[in-house]
Amino acid sequence: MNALQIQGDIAVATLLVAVVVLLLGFVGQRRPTDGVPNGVRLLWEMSIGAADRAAGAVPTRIRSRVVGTAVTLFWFVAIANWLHLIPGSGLRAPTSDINLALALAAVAMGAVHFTALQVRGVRGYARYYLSPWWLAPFKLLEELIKPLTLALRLFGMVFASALMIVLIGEILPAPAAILPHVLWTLFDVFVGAIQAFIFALLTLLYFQVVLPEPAPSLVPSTERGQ
Amino acid sequence: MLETRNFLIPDATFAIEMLALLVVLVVMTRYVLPRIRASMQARQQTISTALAAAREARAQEAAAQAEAENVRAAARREASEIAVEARALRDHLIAEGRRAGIEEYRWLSGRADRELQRRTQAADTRLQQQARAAAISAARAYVGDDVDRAQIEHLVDHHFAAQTVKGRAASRSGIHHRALSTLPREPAGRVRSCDAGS
Repeated sequence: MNALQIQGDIAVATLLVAVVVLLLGFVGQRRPTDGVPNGVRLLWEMSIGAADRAAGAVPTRIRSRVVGTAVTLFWFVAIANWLHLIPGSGLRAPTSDINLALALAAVAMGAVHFTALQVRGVRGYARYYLSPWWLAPFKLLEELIKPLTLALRLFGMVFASALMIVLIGEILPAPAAILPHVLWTLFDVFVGAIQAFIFALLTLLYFQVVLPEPAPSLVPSTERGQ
Repeated sequence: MLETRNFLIPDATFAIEMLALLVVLVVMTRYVLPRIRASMQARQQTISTALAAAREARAQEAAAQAEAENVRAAARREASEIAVEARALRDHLIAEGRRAGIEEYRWLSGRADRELQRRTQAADTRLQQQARAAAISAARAYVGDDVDRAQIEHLVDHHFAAQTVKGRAASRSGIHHRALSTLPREPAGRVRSCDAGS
């Protein structure tokens, strides 16, 4: 075991996912010339709208960053989960490797705590963990568990799903494996989307947990049922 | 590869992936998604403005409809009042026409009576003269020439006068009664011209 070892295929796949997400982002942000937004832009707008609704009472001044983080993580995880489904590419899903799962969880939780520090300040951030003082160890333990559960849930599901596809190909003879392979691939698409959704939703929830409740006037009107 | 490493332990790939992820996150949250979000909010603002304008237009339309309804109601009230006044004027004109007609009839009737009386009187005079002549002639035929001409004429005149007055009175009262009974008791449906007889 070498801690400095780099897995080339996973690193390339991750960079590929990063490029695809950035490309989709740049295609989506282009202003429509004829007033009609393109499909990619509609996809982004749908994601942003859904994340905005799920963001709950996140303060307005950091809402854009919180929603943007959740949406970016969703599409990054989803595309990473679906990458191995490209026929003939020979690519592995980078999320089936613990490195990317941990990196995603670390980035997500890093963004959560960085934003909380910015909004609450150092004293407010410390007060959140130390009030009441006897709950502090549990809160710290929770903060360690959160990224681990985020990473292991994602990694476990995608790894198991990829393993199932390999097992179907290994155990069953070629003609009999076609139908289960197709069915499992379809299920894999669904699992990939669900895992991305869960990852983004949990990140949003972690944001809401550590961020202070806004004053009533700061809550967007859409969340007050108007 | 799986035989040489524990797949639950991260390696240096983690750093590369973390770096790539951070770059993507920063670019997306700072440059890409805020633009899309701002565009969405601008569009929502446009839609909200249009909806507000539509609501205001609906309110104005409702106000205009209410005003039109008020004007229609006022016009209906005015038309009803005009119709009532017109009916009253019609009844008044009918009554006036009827009164004028009756007066004209009475005037015409009086003139006819006078004319009838004059002609009757003329006929009576002629008849009386003829009766006198006939009576004198008859008396001469029976008695001779020494008849009292004045007495015969007096008798004829007396008898003639009594019969004539009685018959004329009966005739005149019957004509009046029949004529008055033909006059309309109630105003007719149409206003008749009342200036012809007056």
